[in-house]
Amino acid sequence: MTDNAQTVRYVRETMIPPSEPPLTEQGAVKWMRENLFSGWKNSLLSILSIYVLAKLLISMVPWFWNSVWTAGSLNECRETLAVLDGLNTHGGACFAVISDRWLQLLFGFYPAESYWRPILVFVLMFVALAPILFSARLPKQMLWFSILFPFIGTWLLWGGSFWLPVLVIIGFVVGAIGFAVGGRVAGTFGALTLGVLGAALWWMVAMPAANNALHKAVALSRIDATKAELVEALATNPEQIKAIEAEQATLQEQINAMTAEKDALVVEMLAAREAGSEPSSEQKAAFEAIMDELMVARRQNTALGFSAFKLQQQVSDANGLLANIQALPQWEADLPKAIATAAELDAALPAGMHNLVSVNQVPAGTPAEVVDTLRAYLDADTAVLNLQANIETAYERLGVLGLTPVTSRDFGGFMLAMIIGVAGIVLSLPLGILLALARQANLPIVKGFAVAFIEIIRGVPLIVWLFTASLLLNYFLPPRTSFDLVLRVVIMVTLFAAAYIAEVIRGGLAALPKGQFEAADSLGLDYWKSMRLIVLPQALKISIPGIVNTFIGLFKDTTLVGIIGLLDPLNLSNSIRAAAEWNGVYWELFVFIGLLFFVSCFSMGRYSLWLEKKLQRGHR
Amino acid sequence: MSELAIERQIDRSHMTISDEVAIQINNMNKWYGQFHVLRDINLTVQRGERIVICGPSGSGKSTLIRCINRLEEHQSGDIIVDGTELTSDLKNIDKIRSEVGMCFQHFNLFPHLTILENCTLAPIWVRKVPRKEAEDIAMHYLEKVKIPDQAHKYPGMLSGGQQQRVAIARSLCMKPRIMLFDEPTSALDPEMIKEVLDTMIELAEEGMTMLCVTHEMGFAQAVANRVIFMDQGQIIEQNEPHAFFNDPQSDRTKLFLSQILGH
Amino acid sequence: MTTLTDTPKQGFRLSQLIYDTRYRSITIQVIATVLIVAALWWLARNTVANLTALGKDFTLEFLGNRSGYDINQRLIAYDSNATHGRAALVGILNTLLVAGLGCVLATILGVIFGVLRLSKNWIVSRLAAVYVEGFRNVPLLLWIIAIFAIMTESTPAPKDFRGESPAASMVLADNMAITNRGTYIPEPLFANGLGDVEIKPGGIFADLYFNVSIDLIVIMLTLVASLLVVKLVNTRAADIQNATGNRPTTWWVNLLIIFAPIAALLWGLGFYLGKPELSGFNFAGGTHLRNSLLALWLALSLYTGAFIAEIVRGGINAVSKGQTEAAFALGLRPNRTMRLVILPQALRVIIPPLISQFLNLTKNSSLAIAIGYMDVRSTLGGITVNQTGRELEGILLVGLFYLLLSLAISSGMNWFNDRVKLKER
Repeated sequence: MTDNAQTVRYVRETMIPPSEPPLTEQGAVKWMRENLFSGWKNSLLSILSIYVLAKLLISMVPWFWNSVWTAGSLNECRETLAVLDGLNTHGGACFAVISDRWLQLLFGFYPAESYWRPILVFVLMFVALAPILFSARLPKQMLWFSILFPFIGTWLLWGGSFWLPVLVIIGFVVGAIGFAVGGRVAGTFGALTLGVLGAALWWMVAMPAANNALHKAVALSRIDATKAELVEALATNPEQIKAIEAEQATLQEQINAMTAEKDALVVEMLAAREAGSEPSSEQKAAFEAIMDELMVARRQNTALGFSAFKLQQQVSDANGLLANIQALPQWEADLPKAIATAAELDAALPAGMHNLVSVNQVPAGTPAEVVDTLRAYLDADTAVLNLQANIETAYERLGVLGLTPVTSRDFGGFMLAMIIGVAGIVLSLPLGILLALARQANLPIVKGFAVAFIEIIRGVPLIVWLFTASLLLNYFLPPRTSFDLVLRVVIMVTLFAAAYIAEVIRGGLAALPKGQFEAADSLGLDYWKSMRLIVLPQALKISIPGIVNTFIGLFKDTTLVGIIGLLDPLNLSNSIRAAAEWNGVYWELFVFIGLLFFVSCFSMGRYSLWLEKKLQRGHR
Repeated sequence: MSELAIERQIDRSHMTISDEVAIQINNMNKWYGQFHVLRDINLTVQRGERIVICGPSGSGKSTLIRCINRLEEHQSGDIIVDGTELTSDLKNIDKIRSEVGMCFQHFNLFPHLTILENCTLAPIWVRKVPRKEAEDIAMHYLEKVKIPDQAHKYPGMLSGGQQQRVAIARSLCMKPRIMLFDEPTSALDPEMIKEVLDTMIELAEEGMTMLCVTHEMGFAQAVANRVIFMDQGQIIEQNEPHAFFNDPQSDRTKLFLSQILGH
Repeated sequence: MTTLTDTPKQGFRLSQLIYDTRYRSITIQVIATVLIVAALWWLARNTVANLTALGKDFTLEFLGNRSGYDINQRLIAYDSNATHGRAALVGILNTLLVAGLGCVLATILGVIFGVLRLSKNWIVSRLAAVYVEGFRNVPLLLWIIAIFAIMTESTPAPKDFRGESPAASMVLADNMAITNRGTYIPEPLFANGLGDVEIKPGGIFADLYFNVSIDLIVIMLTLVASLLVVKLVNTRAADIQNATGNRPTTWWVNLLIIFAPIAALLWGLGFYLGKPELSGFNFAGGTHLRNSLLALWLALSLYTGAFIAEIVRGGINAVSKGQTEAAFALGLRPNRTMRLVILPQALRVIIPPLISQFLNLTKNSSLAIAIGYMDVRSTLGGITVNQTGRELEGILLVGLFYLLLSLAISSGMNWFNDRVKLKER
């Protein structure tokens, strides 16, 4: 080795302090050079992009900038644009349609006085989600609320008596007790059998009976008071309605006068524009003022009309209820007789015909008298069912103790999208977990069934499943059962989401280190305990981003329910367009709906991304 | 930091340092955004030198050697490699990169290619060597790093130490005149470090000009003719290894050595 | 293994079915099978009961009956006198048409925007991000309807093209007319064409008759032959490179091989473009692309393209920076590095999710119903079902079609995955 110690020896005496980069390496110049104009290809791309961006902005900004927010119809929007800014139809947006109909786009036809209910559910949903999404910072006890939330939320949305959610929850308690007892007596199999059986018995037999009994008790306890109330409503409402109608008539006259004034002003101002001069600022101010007044008056008019309609509805409801109250004793007296008749006819039927629901089902060659008996039996049976339904409904209407019921027909807008999306994901979780476990299990047949289910669901578009729900589901269920469309859609969406959730959870299970499974086994835990205590909590945590992404997809897909006739935001936009005053409004509605979806999906997507990064960091 | 004793006898017959300058760095500065990573670096490397660069993490040692084959761009000063100045001129960059080999901490073998294909890729596409010839060269170097029998396997099927030796062979296939090593052993298990160091020692014995960023002080003592200590983006101290380890001058060097050697 | 003491031999006990690991899994599977079969049987029984109660049966005979409705968008001969089966076939072809076109355009858009989003150019990557996030986070149905609305509401009617000073004019040197009834583009025609060949299967496939242009077949065959020759040339270039180290330049030879025979053939067939022309209140001649097809195609491509862009970006990002550095350190130029090192690795990551996006696009094409494009769901699962009252059979068949398509595509994907999997210990 050459001795080079003399030449290489070096010790720094003073440290060099950090300095600023040279000027060409700093600030905006450097930023532009590095980010926009590094090389001719990049410069060309930048210029092209700026050109495209400018073109887009130039075509869109004026449209937003000149938008009209106060107008009662598309025509008035156009008038406003024409007289104030001298613009044609496409010169500015008519967001007046949004200020007029935004509540409808959010809530559909949900009764306005009950808007607080879906809003409360929406807020409570975040409270329920918080301990799951931000588990680290919140107390574990909050999970109890998360578990109760689905029941409370459903009750708040659909209304009805307060004991309904309680009765449903009791079913779970019964199931849990059955599970515990069965487990002690006959192990896992016993636990499962007894748990499922107990809960099913409660929900199918005991719960309806208890519900009816409670309704009946409440109804009977206050039947006289109710009657008095109804009679009073029948007596006073017509007068109130008349008063309101009179008020409306005067208001309408004012509106007509204002409209005429406005029209005159418009003609004047347009004439001025025609002549080539800008309308005076006083004219413009007058026009704006009169439009404001007009809108206030119209709103008042609508409100009056609405309260008149409510009163009218009360009258017809009261009439119906009074008729029900009168008919109730008769129905209750008729029911035992009808049941006896039906039983008699049923006994007369030959064996094998007791389960038929239609004379069409009779095998060929059956004697005519038998067919007649069957027809008579079926009629009698229908009569029984009708009587029972009448009595039940009557007591239910008289005995509601809680929130006014709202039918799912009235659900719509973003509320409907949220309900279907959230219900789909929440309900699909248990099934999804089971499917994921089945697909992972070392049981070929079970695995085969799980794979078949998942692949069939995922291989067919959601729209076909929705048509299945609207057209076919009734075929698959026992005769005479029918659900309303929203419920059918929720069932189908749940099955649909379960297949996707199963795949997400399978990913989570696969991402767990094998050691976790082995550790659980070596602790002597049985399969379900090791899954419940060790594997699933971890796998589910890793799966949350995937579940959120599935939810985003499902939430966007809820727009498809419009195709089978539900009132999703897009379908609502069609019905808004169908109204005479907003005929021809497209972009404003698309922009509003698109923006709402964008904001919610984008923020959820960001959350899931953030969580994914956090989990990745946590795993290292 | 492991400190493996180098047990073998080192053959120094070919380890000669010529007067020819291999790398010349003058007043070189580099910034990441506002952060001044390399400050006034001056370094002359003669052909045949074996230089070990050490220093705490974040001291800019990796950045320095990555500047030498332009994986990082410097903003002021000049770097002249084999008489060619590094500028943004693509021709110069190509010339320097085909003269300078580099080994990375994480090997960076191409996982979709076999070991042999990894070694022949650059000779075929950069040096325009016929495939047969390229494969012969590759097998020669694979034998040299003692893994000829793995030639048709994929990188993922090899151990870390084997992968790093393949990475060295891959660089050698381009017949470089200078080799850069960027912490070649710090991602390896102790028993694998030795096999990689052995390969590097053999390379040194053949007279290769080498710049190593490493914390293997045994290697530095046995092979290097110069050790450079860097901190805060500047060269703090340099000396021949014996003096460097036994008689450090700067306080920073003393502190660093006590941390790294004093377990 | 040795046993120190003899374990007492026991006979089979019933509890072993549950507690013995040898029988336990069989017991569970038997129970599961029984439960599932029972559930299926229950559903089937309900269905039969409901069907007979309605006086219906389960049959596919309706497929052979006269359909009685028209389909404006069709690839094969069809009129209202054809059968429902034929209508279903028209629908299937329409689904495949828009899905195929969509996959191609979505891939192009996705690759472009995925690469642009990785660009160091700030404004370009930002614009690409806006595209991706904008399309990903808004429901597809909204895009379909909005794009359809643009096409029908803000384009001129054919009558606007009439008169001395028309309100609208054709674009691309009078070759293309964009109207609210669709876009008219020139149509390829042959002066000395070879005519059509009719394919007419018999038996239950009698509905599958169709005509194929011989010109098209000849052109396709020529193209395939040219591509084979190109492959040969490339193999030879690789051989020369292996032998001498220098790769001969082949791109112009390849271009010549691809285009010269086709050009000669087109000349021989007397190829010319039939321009669309205004006659009366509408355009005649040329190919008429309906707004429903265009809107669906564009919306599907733009929407799926946004997802593909993310996949492409992720795939390229998945190849670690060290790979590029290693290639650079070996002296490879950026273009070669991309082609030899980055792309082969990125493609392995990109292709599986890409194919599942193709699957999604195909399934999403069923949203055609919103704008009246006649795909299989609108013909077989829509009008046919409404006219015949065969909702069970119709929807079942539609579902089966999509399912088979999905299974075919995903088994292809599995095959690909197995083939290109990185080999590791």
